[in-house]
Amino acid sequence: MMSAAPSNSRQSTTPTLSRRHFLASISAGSLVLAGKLGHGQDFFVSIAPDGVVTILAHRSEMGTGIRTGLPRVVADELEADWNRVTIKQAPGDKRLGDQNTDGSNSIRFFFDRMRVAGATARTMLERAAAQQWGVDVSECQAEMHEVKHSKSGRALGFGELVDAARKLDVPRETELKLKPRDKWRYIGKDFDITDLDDIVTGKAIFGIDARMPNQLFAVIARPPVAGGQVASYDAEGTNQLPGIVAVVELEGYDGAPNFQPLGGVAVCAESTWAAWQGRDALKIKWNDGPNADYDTEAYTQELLASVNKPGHALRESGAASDIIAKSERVIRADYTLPHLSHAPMETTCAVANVTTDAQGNVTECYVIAATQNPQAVQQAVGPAMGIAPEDVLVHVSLLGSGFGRKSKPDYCVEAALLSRTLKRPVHVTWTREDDLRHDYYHTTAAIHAEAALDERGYPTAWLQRAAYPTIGSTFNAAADEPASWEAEMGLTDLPFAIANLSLEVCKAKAKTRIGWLRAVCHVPQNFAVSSFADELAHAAGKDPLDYLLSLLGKDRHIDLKAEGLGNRGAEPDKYPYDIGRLKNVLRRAADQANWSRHKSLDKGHGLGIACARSFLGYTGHIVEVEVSRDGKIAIPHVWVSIDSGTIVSPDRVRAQVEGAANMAAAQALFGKLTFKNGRAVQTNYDSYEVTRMRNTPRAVHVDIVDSQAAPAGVGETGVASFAPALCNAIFAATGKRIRNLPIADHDLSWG
Amino acid sequence: MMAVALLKSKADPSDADIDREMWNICRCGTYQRIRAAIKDAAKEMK
Repeated sequence: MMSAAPSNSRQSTTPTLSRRHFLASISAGSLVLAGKLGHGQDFFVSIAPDGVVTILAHRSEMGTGIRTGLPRVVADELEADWNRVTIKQAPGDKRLGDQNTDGSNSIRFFFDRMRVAGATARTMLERAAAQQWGVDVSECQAEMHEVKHSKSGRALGFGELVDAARKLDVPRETELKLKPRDKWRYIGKDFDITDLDDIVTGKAIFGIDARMPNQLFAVIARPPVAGGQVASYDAEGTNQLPGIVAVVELEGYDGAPNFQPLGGVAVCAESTWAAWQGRDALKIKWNDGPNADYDTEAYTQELLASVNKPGHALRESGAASDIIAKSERVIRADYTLPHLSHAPMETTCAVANVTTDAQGNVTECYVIAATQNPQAVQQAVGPAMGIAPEDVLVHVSLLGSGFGRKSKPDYCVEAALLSRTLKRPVHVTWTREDDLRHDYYHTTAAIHAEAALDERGYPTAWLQRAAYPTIGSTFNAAADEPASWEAEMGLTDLPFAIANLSLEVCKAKAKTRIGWLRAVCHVPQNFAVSSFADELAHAAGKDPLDYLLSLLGKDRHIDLKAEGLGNRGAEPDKYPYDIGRLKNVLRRAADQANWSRHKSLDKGHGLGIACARSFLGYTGHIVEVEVSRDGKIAIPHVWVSIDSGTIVSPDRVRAQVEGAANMAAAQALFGKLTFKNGRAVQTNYDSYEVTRMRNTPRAVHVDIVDSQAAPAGVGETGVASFAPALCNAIFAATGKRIRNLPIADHDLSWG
Repeated sequence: MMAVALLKSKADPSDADIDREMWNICRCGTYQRIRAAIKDAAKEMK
């Protein structure tokens, strides 16, 4: 057994556990595929002689249920009794494959692999039983933790077969028989997540709770402007306060931010409170550096200027510009969206223990972190400590949400640097203010759209340009326009059947750290494309649903390769861009919302519609709004249909799609992170508002399409089409078109 | 804890009561389930 299990107990965790111990501990006395397979799934499942099945969870749990969901897939193929399954959280280890719990990839990447892992172990147990009984293996079948021989009525428990099974050769993947879909026991059925009781009773360990013996608590005064440096500081006042142990200067970074710490002055103390007091007492002079002039109000004007000039066309067909120039009926619109912050409920936090030898060389480095990507922690902390990444032991705690912020391990490097200096474990705590001031912010965007309409009101040409600081700028300081993989999230993957297209990106130099936030570039790009489609429908005097279905055209697969489009690395055969599925979710959402009533609603009451393909899944949203005469908005209903192929856990999918509606509502209604003099203006939830019970959608009705297609994304998929559907509903209710988010900046009063 | 306090002061809270009393932030976006759970609890406590 592991001696450190931070997610299961409140006891202090021992910092001396080595990574090698961890893998050895799984093997002890069990049927383990370790060392036999060599293609990865060896580590995922083991069966002890007492029959207990241990399954490794290698993705991070931040509320999606993945820590339970993937092991359920293994258990299903294994025919294990779920009551006799133990889940262990894996440390960061590249042999497990991708561990970046991000990009709505977990089920998509590992569904097949978990099935193979379970089926491999089941096959070995069946073969062991056949050998023992001297019968053909085809007569033996695993069922609920036993292998049965139906002809003779004999049965052996999994535990009883372990000793024989472990001596067998591991079957090749081609020898395995996967269970048919109608025999699935757990996949597609609801379940309680494994941490439910611990979470509800407060026993679960999140990163912010993680403790090591003798640990210090640190808070850091970071440069208020990204890329700034400490010019000088005076810690005299701090050092006089009780509980202060050390004040340590941390270096900033040169060039691109990457996952390096921002630098600053760390106050390390015996408690978080003492550290906070100590930080308040610091006197620091900053060199703000080149981003000191960052002013988002002016920057938005720069972005608008950028998209109102020809850009770099990433997808082009026909002669869109010429047709628009000659057309008698052209509709134009500019959309802007501000920066957003992840603002996870639990801020970023990590505790590290680094030990060194007499020469100061690092001998051990152990990190417990609320991280979405433990391998990124290894890759960032290793070089900072002068050791190999695989020698950094990273335990993953539960995460109090992440939204992409916790894939970026700058805070783990901070903890390791401080621990190495102070020769004690150090827990770095980010306050809410730290979190909002020093995020890897969701980008700020301007999008320009033009369409030429024919006499029936349908577009003959469509031109769109987007400018926003690229995520690439976080890794390459010279990157100054959206990358193709960013544009493919809602700009260049335009699903409409229009002959003349020009989809362009324009220059935008980053002035702060840019990162990915749930749904990433779908947030601005799908807002623009679905708002613009609605504007055209109204300009043409058509029903927005009928118009959208016409734009989508006939059922077909978009030829991604011919259009030069990526597919998030997924095979186009397995994950086609299927317009039929997109239209299906749109129609289903409309049916459930009783869409046709939209024409007879009173002023101030409206329905809005939008659809999107994002993270390989499909959503259709209908949002209902009520806007009072004095401009107060309520969202009584949201209907969402989602088609993300095969589903492991319907209830977790519903929860993600409901959560996405709440988050997207918060962003559309209030979300705005601005900069003045290079500094973030909103620094807590009082100014960076999110929805509360009183102003969030009252009801979110989620309809999951029953599909046998390959599993696609879910976590982010529910975001993309919400905000445009909301703003389209506001237009229907009030005649006011929201082109600049957030909605709270606009006066919605009418009548 | 907030929900317990609400139910102690009002055995059968209305939507408006829930809107007013449950003012805390949920970033995962479970507001709709919290509302439903409070109503379920109110029913069971009757």
